[in-house]
Amino acid sequence: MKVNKTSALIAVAAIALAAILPMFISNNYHLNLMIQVLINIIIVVGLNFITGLTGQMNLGTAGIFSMGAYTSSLLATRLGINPWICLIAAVGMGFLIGMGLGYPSLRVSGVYLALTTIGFSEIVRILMTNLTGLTGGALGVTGIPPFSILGHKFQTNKEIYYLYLVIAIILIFNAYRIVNSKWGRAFLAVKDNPDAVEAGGINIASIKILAFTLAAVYATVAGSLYAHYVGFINPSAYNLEYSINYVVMLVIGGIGSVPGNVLGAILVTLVPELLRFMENYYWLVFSIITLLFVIFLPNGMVSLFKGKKREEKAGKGAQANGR
Amino acid sequence: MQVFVQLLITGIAMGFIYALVGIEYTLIWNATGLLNFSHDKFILFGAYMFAGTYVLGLGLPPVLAILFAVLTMFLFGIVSAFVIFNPLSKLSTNLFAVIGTVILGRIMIESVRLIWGPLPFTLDNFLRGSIHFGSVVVSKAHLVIIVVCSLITAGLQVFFKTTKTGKAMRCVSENKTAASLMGINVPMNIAFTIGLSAIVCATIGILVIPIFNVELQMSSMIGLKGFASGVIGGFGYLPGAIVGGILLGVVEIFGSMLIPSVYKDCLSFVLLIIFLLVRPSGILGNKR
Amino acid sequence: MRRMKKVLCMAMAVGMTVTSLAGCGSSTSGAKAQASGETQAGAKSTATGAPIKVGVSNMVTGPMAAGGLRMKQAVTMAFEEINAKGGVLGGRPLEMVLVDDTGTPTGAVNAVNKILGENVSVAIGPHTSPMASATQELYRKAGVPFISAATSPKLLEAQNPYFFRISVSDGAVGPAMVEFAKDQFGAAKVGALYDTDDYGVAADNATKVYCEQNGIEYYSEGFTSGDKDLTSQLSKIKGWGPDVIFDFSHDAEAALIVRQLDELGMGDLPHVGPNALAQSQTYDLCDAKQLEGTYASTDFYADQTNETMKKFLDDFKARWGADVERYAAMYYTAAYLTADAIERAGSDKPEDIRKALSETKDFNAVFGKLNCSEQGEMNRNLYILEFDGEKNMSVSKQVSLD
Repeated sequence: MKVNKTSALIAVAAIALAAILPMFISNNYHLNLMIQVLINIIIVVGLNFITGLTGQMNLGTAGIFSMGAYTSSLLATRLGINPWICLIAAVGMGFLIGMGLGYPSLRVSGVYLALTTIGFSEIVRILMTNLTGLTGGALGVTGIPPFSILGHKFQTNKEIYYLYLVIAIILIFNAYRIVNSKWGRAFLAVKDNPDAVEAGGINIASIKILAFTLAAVYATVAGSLYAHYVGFINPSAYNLEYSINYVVMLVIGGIGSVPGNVLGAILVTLVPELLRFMENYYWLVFSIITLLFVIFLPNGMVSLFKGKKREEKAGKGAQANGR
Repeated sequence: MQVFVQLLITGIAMGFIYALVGIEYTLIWNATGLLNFSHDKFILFGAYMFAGTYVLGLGLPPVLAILFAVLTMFLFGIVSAFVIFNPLSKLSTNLFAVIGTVILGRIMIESVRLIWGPLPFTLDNFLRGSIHFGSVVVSKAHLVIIVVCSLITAGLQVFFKTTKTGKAMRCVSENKTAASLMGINVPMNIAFTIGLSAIVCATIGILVIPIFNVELQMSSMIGLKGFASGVIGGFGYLPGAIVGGILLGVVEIFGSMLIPSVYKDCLSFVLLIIFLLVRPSGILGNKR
Repeated sequence: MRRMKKVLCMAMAVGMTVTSLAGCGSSTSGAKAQASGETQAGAKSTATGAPIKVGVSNMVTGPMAAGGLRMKQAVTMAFEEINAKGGVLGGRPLEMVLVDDTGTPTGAVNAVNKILGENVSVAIGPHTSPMASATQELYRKAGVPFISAATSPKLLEAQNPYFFRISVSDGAVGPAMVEFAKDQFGAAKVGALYDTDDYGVAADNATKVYCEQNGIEYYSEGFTSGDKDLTSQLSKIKGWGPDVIFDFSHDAEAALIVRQLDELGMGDLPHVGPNALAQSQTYDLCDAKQLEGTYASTDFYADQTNETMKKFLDDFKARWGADVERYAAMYYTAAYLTADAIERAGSDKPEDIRKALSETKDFNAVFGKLNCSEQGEMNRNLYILEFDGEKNMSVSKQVSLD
């Protein structure tokens, strides 16, 4: 694997910055935002596999995320299982969902797949709300314990931030390696030129399912992390709007690029918070900004930093996928 | 028996609403290849425009208000075609188009909230009350929905089959290059189609006021179920949207008599997924 | 053209990055500016001391924005009045730190974290039960008391000494309605329709248990929030043949249920609605004729005969041009209760205020007296109202839950 020197430097600098930030920011609100940024980064990096690379539209993030969160929090609160084991169970749930959603993606694609994932997500939300015996219904699950290592509980926001930062870095690095490996190229090829993939002796079906599984596992892990951080989960927030937010992050940062995903997650989580001083108008202003981005900068923030050649290549590849 | 008839009428009325939703986004889909994820916000916008501005704000009589609302929405559709849909349809993948229309929807709902305020309101005496047929009670709103929707669906078919503009629109949705070679102004034609879709949206918005009231969430569920009905009937095919819509409305209302009614909204999504997996072309779809 | 596009993109990107970097330090000034800007239209503050900050987690945007607007207006007005009379603790004004919680649990976690980062002395909101549930541990950790009108009985399970509520628990409303239906209509079969959100489920459960204990038949149908066509649920209930119909729903659906009951020919059955139905924003959506003979159970109603209430109703109308409903009354009370607790505590320290709040006794709220229980429950007044043919309400029964 070839790693560009500058990008390695940038990565190290970013990690260093992330590690020292809490020394300057002791405000709980800012720490909380940073934790949410980390969780969102994990989701977007995962979504990148399926929507960014293979170009399969997934609008069911809310459903996948909440399945992860519920798996983890129900095991922890009902059966008193250690949160780490719950996290592993959430990973298992991610595998199941990935397989389950990956299968329809073999038969339908584009808008049809988007509708399938919306349907899945809505069904999950309605079930979570109405299976009161199992999930606690709309009242949600309360008292979800935090993670602990060797008897030390991660309770303050600072501790949780560092723990989640480590997990996020591992997952980002992992994603970066996959994207730049032969799998990553195969994912891209599924979008750009499916026939060539088949001709190259790679099974498109297994590639698609793999991409879906990776995306689902990242989202369920994020769900589990979220549940053990906030200590409370209920189904009401996990609707289509929620799923779309992650696709917005993906598009604003730059589809296909892991650094772009990270950037997108940071911006889309923080900018609305910063616009809050506009009170009534902040969501409107933020939406207008995003719309301008989508129309004028469809390849995301990263396309500003990339060489022209790369941009053209990406554009061409994307064109081939157009409907 | 009496309950059966009552439910059937409600189901058919809801079904016609889904059918109109299906028609409204299929029009744009066929013309531009974009799935308009902001379509429920178009419906919302139409309802607020009619009830908030023309009836309550300016005090116009309903007939005049409907006329103005429809006209405003038509212009709004034309404008958004040039400002939003056109640039979006030129973008490379439909991922951007989906996000673009979704965000358009967000901008619209926020504008509605800022212009007309967050409080729900309604129109007194607008299609209120019910009619008794023997022991069967039917609400006026449902009857009006059935009548108006049938007229619109029939009207659209005639429009597409007989008028020059309609034929041109069909031509554009079949093959844009060929259409422009035949001397059709494709961008204008697409804009007109989106305007037409906005008119249908406004009609839906106005029709559901007596059953849903006017509020910010009034159209989100029918928006999603409209997608489901389109797939069930046959995606991108107008008669398919109609059949799918009516079927969904009826299945939903009778289905929820059998299963716990909290799962009523699940029903349409389960049907959606089953159809996508087993018969993606839908009931009538043989084209795709 | 191409060049311009590129420049525009760059400008947008730079702008976004700069705001996100620069904003970290200064993101909090907005709420204050907003709050002080609003006082222009209201009474002038005469309090000149160091302000005492009160956090307000408010639903400015999102699905609950309608209630959020009233909540904000009520707290703003109450603080204006208090500050105009010289504030608290001998001349210190109350300052509202208002943060949008978007009406969702995640949004509320953000908002409350932000409020707590502002070193507030006490907080008001968030309003809904899921939001209160998601944030109450944050308040406990920070040691800041908060006052909410969230109604879920489950909130008490956390045994949080920093939680105070000024509304009646959902667990208490259903049983009171059953008692009323028994006395008034001799009901033996109760049919109910409930929203499957936190409120509806809690109310349904409590009613079901109470009916079982008292030998009354109970049958209920749920609907998912946002479902607007309730024909099939109502038909099922109709088929079961109840003596009385309850519904546990929110504003928009509560109005639709009144209409759909009538249109399904069930208008003659006695119908006891939720507190939403007693609020003008809901019953304005109903036809007066369809509403006739309908009942609503509520912990607040705009009682014109009560002098304190009347003054509040008139003042609110004069200040905002809108009618008072439950949100406004609840959070107007919360604001005054806050001021009262700070006075009694004689301090702006959160812990002292918590203690003062927990010792609240015979506090004069606009809708009655508040007494704090050990669990932080303050309100024990419930009314069952009856509508006449012109949307006027009269008290059919007043229940004291003690």
